[in-house]
Amino acid sequence: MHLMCDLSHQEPRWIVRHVGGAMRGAGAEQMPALVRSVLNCRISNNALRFFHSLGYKLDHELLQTGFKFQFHKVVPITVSVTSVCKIPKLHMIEEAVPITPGLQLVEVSASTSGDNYTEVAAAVSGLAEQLAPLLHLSKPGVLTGVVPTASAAASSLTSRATKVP
Amino acid sequence: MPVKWLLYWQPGSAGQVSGNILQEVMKSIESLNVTRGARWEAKAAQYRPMLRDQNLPADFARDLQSIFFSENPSKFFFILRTEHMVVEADSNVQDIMERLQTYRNRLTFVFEGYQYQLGDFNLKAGRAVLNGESIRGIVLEVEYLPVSSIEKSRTLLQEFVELWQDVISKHSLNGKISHLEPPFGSYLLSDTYSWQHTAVQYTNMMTHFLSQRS
Repeated sequence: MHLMCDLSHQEPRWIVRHVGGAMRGAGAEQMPALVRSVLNCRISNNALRFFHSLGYKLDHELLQTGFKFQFHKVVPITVSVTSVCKIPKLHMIEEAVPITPGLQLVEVSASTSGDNYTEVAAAVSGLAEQLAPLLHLSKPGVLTGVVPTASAAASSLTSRATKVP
Repeated sequence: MPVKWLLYWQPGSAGQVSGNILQEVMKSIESLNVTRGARWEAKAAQYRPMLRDQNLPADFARDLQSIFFSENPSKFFFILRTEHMVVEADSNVQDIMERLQTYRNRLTFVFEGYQYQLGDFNLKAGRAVLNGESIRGIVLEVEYLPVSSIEKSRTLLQEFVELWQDVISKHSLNGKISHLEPPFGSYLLSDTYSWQHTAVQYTNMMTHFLSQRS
């Protein structure tokens, strides 16, 4: 379970997210993208204290900064290019330090209903192929290495698509 | 949001709440120049932690409550009584809690009835039913539409309740309308009324009914 706080607005906005296990089986292995259930829910800003009172313990805390881009390729697809930072002292985001300095995490995701995930996975894969000259994108857990033009990829996305911070 | 007061019917000596009393209360409201509205419902629940090992020291809250209002279907509210915390979330938080499997529904209270409009006031009358079986109380809600300040509306709402009591008394009902003062201050809720205030009132009422003998 994740508690996320959107700091890009004047008032912080909290979301609780439940990420389910990945789809398994031979069909899932053939799928070019990872398929899993994700539930997002807006929640009031006492969420952290609430879940702590329910008995949940903080596992880790991260700060993610960057950009989100929205594409429409068969289905709406979101591409986020972010820098992931660890926070050495609890909640002290001003002291956040990038985990991989100079490198960004690129995530491509799309929502799917229960009966069209094959089509959506194919659309995500199609977008990944388009970005292949700049980025090696693969399913989570499959290492691809780093393309020297990673920063060029972010610039390319900035110039091509609508920027959604 | 307009201020609401949640009230309950306190039976006279040796009296008990029943569906008949609710019918009489509703008749007394309908004897005024009211416009009857739709049915209303609020579902409250009390939870217990699902502890895999009962011997482990538990950091789990033992007093988790929730409430959902049919008038505000996009939202769901949790109350932690000991922590004096009210949490507001989108209604799909129920799906997340279901998947987390850390708390289980221990009992359910359904508040249901009819609503009415009388000038600047919205009125509700209904019953509180435990686990779909027994009526544990009769609730009345009065909402004063022009004002959102709890303190500024206090005197006027008190006067309205007294008038309402007079109307009900003429229908030979043995009992009175009582106001359960809600603990808004301890929940750090502001003077401006909101759905969080309503959540605190209804769960407070549920706790009150549970503490009474059935």
